[in-house]
Amino acid sequence: MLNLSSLQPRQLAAQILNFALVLSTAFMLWKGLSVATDSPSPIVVVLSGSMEPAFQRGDLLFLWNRGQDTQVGEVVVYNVRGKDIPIVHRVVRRFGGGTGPLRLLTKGDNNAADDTELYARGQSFLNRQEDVIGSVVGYIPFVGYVTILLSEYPWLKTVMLGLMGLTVVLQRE
Amino acid sequence: MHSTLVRAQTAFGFFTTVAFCVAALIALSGFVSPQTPSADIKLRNVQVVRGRPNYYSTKKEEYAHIKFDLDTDLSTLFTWNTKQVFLYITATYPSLKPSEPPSSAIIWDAILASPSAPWHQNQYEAPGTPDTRKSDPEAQKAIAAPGILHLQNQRPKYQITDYTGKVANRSDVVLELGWNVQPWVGALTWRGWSDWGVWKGLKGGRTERFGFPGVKERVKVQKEDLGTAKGGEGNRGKPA
Amino acid sequence: MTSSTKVPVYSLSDLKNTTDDALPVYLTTLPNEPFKQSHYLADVRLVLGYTAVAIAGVLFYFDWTLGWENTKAYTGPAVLAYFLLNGVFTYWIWAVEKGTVFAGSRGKNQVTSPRQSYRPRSTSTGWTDSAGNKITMASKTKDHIPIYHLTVSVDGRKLDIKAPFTQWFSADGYFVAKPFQQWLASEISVIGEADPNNVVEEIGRGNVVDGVRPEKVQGVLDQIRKGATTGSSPGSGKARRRG
Repeated sequence: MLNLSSLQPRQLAAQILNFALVLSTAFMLWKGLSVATDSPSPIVVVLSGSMEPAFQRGDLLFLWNRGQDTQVGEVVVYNVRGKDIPIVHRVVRRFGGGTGPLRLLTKGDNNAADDTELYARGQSFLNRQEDVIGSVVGYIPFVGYVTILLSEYPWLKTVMLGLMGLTVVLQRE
Repeated sequence: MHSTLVRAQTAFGFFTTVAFCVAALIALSGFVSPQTPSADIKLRNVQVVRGRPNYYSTKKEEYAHIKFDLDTDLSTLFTWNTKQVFLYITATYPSLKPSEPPSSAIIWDAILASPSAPWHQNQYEAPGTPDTRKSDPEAQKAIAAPGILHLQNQRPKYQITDYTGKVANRSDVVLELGWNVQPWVGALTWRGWSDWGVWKGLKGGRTERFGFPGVKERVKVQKEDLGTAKGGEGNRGKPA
Repeated sequence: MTSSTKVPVYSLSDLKNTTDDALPVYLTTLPNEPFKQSHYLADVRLVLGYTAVAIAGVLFYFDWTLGWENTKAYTGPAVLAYFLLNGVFTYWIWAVEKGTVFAGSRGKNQVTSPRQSYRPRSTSTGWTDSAGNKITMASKTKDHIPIYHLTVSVDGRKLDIKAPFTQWFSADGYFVAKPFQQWLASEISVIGEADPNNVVEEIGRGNVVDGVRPEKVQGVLDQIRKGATTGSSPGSGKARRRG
């Protein structure tokens, strides 16, 4: 075991730097992906079963937000105005576009009704540019379940961060 | 203890790397498997009626009710990495404003399950599909060759309207077949009209241009005629 | 610090790290004009690393307070700058530091400008005009082989030495400073000058037969014979020290 107090200041600084680099690299990769996809949240985790059987809770989705001419049949992730819950649903109708805003109506594959009731009060269509944060282009099953666990059991976050810090501090190179 | 942690970390890291590489290979394998989809879609009947978006709404809108015939051979879309194919038919019609691109809406959809996918209520069962639980050779064949459909005079799942509430007497409407291939892991892909690598574009799959008729009075239309097909969607209340 | 540390003997990285840590401790406390350690390489690395982390931290703060839309224009350049710095950081570790665990100098040529003194690229041409000594040491181990490789560069002259870890680690994993210091002092002449008491000529299990000249052996034999007959041995004191 490494004893922190016995380290030279430079060694201590290097250990802290290692830890900081792990965290900052993860954050910057995320931001880099955001820039590349032009989406504030390029990877999302499915939180509900409304797109079953295509997507299940805990599946990981990769989004793309460049080229905003979204077609019917695509799966988009949008935020309901006033609420900060991302929803993953399929586009079933589109109109507008060109010089004006493109309007979309969405529906979950597992919902009998479209999303009109889900939208903010007085809103019956999504605005592609304002409401949608990306269109689904990639899929990895299940691995996002960790984040669902983390949000349902917040103490797990502390444990994980602690473990991460510990391993980085304990381990050199 | 320290060393146990390091060993566990190494083992987990190795497992992750291997899993990631295998997943990447599987995801890429779909792009070298040739696709030759073909489809034939014909308009059978179209009617426009007046109605309300839901039973407690006072808004009156015009709805187009479109019946069609559909024959498809999409069997090449089903590779070992295909989980399901979300098949849909869109009605596309020009916008009233010349500056806007055409509007489109889904009138019918079906989730075609891959043979490797577990049963789910939303999966489409073509009319006349034998009970798959019995060891019926026909049923086995249907499972072995998914993506082959022969639908006659099929009712729509959705009656469609425009955001203006008016769809009667529109011209240049086209029905198009589309799909979204959902993999077990990897990229989602959609119907293409042109060739892409070893993937051929969809042959057929588009109707001639047609027009929506004028509004028919409800009383003159047989109620039976305006029925829609029901999907297997589990969530029948408010969307969630 | 090091002599009290116990490490798992099967963990090569622990053995190496402990040995690496012992190097500067010894070299800066040599009895005869100890080396003055230069931290130039490590300092540049730390500055590069912390600058990158600072960029990420600032971006994180503004992203947190202002949101994606407002920071979008700066996010791209920040990400680019971060990964560029990270690239230079990695380059510095792999191509410049190359596992350097000690850099320092002693004698008249004490470090005045680190930029001049530690151009690691120019080790082969060297600085032969100096009156003092400059030294850099880079260590490495090969996978699963418990041998410590040390590349020593003294005033531009390169020397590769190696020794098994068993030479200075006890069987239960304690670092023992003395044999390690003896190894360094005997193998590297500048260290030997600075710490003559630790110089031993034959370390461990070297092949001594090669260097022995027959006439000398004869002389030694004569000495022993004489000693045995007279009962006094003039060379015995020296011999004890060497044993």
